[in-house]
Amino acid sequence: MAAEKAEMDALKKECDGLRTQIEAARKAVNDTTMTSAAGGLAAVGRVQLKLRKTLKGHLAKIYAMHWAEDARHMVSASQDGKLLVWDTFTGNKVTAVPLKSAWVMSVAFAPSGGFVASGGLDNVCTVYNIKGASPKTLRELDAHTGYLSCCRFLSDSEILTASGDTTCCLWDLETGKQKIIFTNHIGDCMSLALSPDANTFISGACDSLAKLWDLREGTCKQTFSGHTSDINAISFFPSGNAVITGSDDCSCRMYDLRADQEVLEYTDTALNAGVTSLALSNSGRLIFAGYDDFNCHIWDALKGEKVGVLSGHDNRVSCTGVPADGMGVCTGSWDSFLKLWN
Amino acid sequence: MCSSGSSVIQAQKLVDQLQMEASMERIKISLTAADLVQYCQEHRRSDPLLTGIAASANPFKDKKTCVLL
Repeated sequence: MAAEKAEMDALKKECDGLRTQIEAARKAVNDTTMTSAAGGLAAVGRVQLKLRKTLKGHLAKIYAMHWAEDARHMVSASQDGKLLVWDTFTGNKVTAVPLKSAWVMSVAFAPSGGFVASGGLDNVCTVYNIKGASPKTLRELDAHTGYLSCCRFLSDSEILTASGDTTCCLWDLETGKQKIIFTNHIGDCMSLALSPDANTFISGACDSLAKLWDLREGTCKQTFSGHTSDINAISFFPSGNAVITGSDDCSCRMYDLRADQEVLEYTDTALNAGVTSLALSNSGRLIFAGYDDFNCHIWDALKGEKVGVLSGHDNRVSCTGVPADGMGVCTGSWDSFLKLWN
Repeated sequence: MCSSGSSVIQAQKLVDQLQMEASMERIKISLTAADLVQYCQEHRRSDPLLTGIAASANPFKDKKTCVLL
């Protein structure tokens, strides 16, 4: 027992030493702030987007939405037990996928447009083929021991999931088996995002940390701290060199991957609601963040200023998404509606 | 109550992870922030939410159809 205690003490000392080393290395490159680097930039001015469509069809809270790569179709998930695939140009529903479990928390569109996936409190990620006349279950990915909070397709044959069991997982859709399990978070994983080059992904969790992972090696390469509560939303800046997070601590933050630290915090004393979701405009300049206060607030990503708001929902904004062509923003809410703005 | 070597294994894993994270080469914020600013500027024109969208080119705008009788 004494030998083990001595070993634990030595390891703890080593940990503390390494943490100090990391903090010193971060401080050494902290030679300026993001706001001063953006000082010479013209302000974006007031961003005023108009509500173009309200999509009605769900009968209960909407928990998730995801755009298809064609920037026209979009899938939404509601605890009314359905996924709805929409043609956002006409406002029509193209497909309805009935779910085995109504407690859905996440939904994803495959890049090919032929599959959608969803999951939630059932701990399972179910993949559906939506190409035919009626949707067919392709796979039930059942290995997580906690709720499915987020899922994203890499292709028609691979999908990434994040779970309340604190792990993320890469699955092979051809076999239905886990390929890699990503372990390192000590709290429920709430959100994930793929890097533009698809070599890495980022996860946000209830341990208030964001982690960068190597998709093929399965290792955690970097850990970002700063938030003081659960990270609910996470996204890559389009260049792949920064990450934006949104949290229950009512703030969004930008983490610079190459400087390995937080470089900007998006907060407002008047804003006392948790961030549920976020999406970036195509150039990365605008952040659309959904909040518990029923609004989607718009931030200047470089200057850290609030530049607009999308108001209209009658309940919490639970999901936000910008299509691949950057032509608008979709917000989904607990009020059961999706709204399209540009 | 004696814990098996698992706490030691956990602690060793934590040390290994921190060692990997510590070994990264970090780049000065003055350089990385400038890159982010440059990226936004270079892609400004291809960001419809910044530049605006003409009504005729707006895919989400409800178009009022004109019927020829």
